[in-house]
Amino acid sequence: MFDNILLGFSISLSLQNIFFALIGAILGTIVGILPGLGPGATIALLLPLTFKLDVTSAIIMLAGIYYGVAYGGTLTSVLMNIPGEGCTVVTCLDGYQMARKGRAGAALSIAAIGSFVGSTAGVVGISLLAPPLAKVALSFGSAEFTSLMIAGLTLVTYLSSKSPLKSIAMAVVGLILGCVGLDPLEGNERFTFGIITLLDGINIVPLAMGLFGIAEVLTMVDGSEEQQGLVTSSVKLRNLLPTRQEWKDSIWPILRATPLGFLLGIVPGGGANLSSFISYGLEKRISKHPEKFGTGYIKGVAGPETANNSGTAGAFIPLLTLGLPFNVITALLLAAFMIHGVTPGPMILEKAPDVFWGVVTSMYIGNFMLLVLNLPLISIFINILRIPYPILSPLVALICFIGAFSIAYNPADVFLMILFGLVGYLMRKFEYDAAPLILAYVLGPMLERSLRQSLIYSDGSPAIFFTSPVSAALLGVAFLSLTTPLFRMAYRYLKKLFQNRELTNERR
Amino acid sequence: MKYLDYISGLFLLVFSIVLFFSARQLAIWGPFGPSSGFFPTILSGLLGILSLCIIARAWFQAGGAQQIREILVPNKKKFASYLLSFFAFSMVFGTIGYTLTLIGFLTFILRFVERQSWKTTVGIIIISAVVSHFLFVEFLAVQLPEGPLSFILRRPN
Repeated sequence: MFDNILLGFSISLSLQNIFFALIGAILGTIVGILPGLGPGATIALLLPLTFKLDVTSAIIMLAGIYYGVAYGGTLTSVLMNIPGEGCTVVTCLDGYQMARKGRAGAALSIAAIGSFVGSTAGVVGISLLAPPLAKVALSFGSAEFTSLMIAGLTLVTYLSSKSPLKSIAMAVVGLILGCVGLDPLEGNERFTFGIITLLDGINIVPLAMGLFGIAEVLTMVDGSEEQQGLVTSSVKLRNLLPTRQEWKDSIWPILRATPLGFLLGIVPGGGANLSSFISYGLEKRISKHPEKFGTGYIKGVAGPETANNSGTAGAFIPLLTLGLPFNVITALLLAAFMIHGVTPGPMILEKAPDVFWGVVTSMYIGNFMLLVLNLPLISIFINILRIPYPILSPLVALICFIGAFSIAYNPADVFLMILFGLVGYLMRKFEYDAAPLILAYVLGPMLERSLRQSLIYSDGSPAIFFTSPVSAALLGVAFLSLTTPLFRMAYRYLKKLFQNRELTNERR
Repeated sequence: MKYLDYISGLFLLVFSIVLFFSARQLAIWGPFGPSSGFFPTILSGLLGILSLCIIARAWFQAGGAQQIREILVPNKKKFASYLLSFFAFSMVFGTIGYTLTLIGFLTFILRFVERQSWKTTVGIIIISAVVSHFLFVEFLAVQLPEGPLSFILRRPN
């Protein structure tokens, strides 16, 4: 193992590979900042440019884009409430509120450090655990996967700072939005209402940017909140750094989110998005102050930001060791491998150890570069908040327009985003959270596919979800997640009732 | 009664009914198992139940009609101007091109809605046009609609 890691570093520390890791990290950060142009599109665009490179350099650069995106997406989530990528949606909840309180620097610093810890630990995990963990992930059948998705979705009740009932309703709306378009198994049209644009379904970018970005702009201009720049005084270094209490509050979420994100990254369909949402749900669930989440609490930034980066690293395991891509980006990376004549899978360690260990060790270097690049730039990025709202709001809208358009070069996506923006604005007014909707939307198509596949395998019998111990345990977690708030409510009600009775008896 | 929850619950209920009938047009069960309508039917039914719970809870919760007044937009004219300009942007963007739409949009918002000076407005328009052109068109190869100003936006081969 040690020899292999040394071999990897001898390859990744060559000037050429350091250069390509840097290019990948910078491009990834830029892509993460710009909403709409996701890592998938960028990797697809750059794929032909890598033809002339050797396979290790090509994959090092493309992988740099993939893990750089999570860093970049955090910036817009914290500073403008625009999630650059799906995996940074949840960062908006507390990160943006911290920015409103003048703590954007602290949020970004903790996010950068958490991201570094998460991704570095993830890379260590790849080095040590890749082959055995890949086997475990492969043992997940459709029933286990369905139960995992359901367990993940029940955590939405903890995503919201408001009503759990409304959160579940929003999650169901998200699942319904995920059904729009062609049925993934039979190809029938669903909920398209004759609109051709909807045949491909609703893309996450117009949905997330509408519900967060455009809704934020509409809230800025409606006059119900004071219209000032978020930062009015000069930005001092000590205001950029987290306080001692913020450090203390962040350590445990970072340590918990690292293995959680990594393990979820390995699971099919897991990856950075699910990792960040589940980490947020978990932190809120176990916190002594769940009411602080959503109001600018550092734990709501530290956990998800760490989890999405370790999840990104975890997603490389099935790709490298089994040759199985579990999301679009790893599928494109697989294509890049194959274009260069290398087939990832169990044999890669024997046939191309230089490529495997070169790519893995380059991630250590890439993540270090991202930390070095991001921390000093925080003070520059934070100046965005000094722009007054009357100027910032149309510019934010403009970024959203280009982002939504660039997915498919279709103005209808821009129109759709504005509609979702209006819906998001109304949701805020009526006290509904957008985060459960987005999570359910992301998980919806995967949940439906695995649910239907499971029922097809079992000839329609739901017993399939209870016969597998893993699946049954996950459903147990889901049941507990849903019923615990009910038990708590009942306990509080009974306690109040008994106290009232005692008071009445005492008066008598 | 908590009016806001009551109204939103009613809206969700109507939404779920529409979706339920739309989903019912698809087959729920096929020869091999669950079909296209299976998942949407379950979801629309579930949303209906949840919306009824929201309505029922709102009925018994404290709250008054003043809630509706609280959420009304104080700055209606500005809000409507922004919203209309957004929709206008999305409609003319593909026809007249990105640059002209950007100029029109920012001029309207900055000069006439936000009452910024002409100097600020023109400065921001120029910076936005140049930065977005180099970042999106030149660097990231995004094909923004060109319109009549295609000679500016077209990427050199």
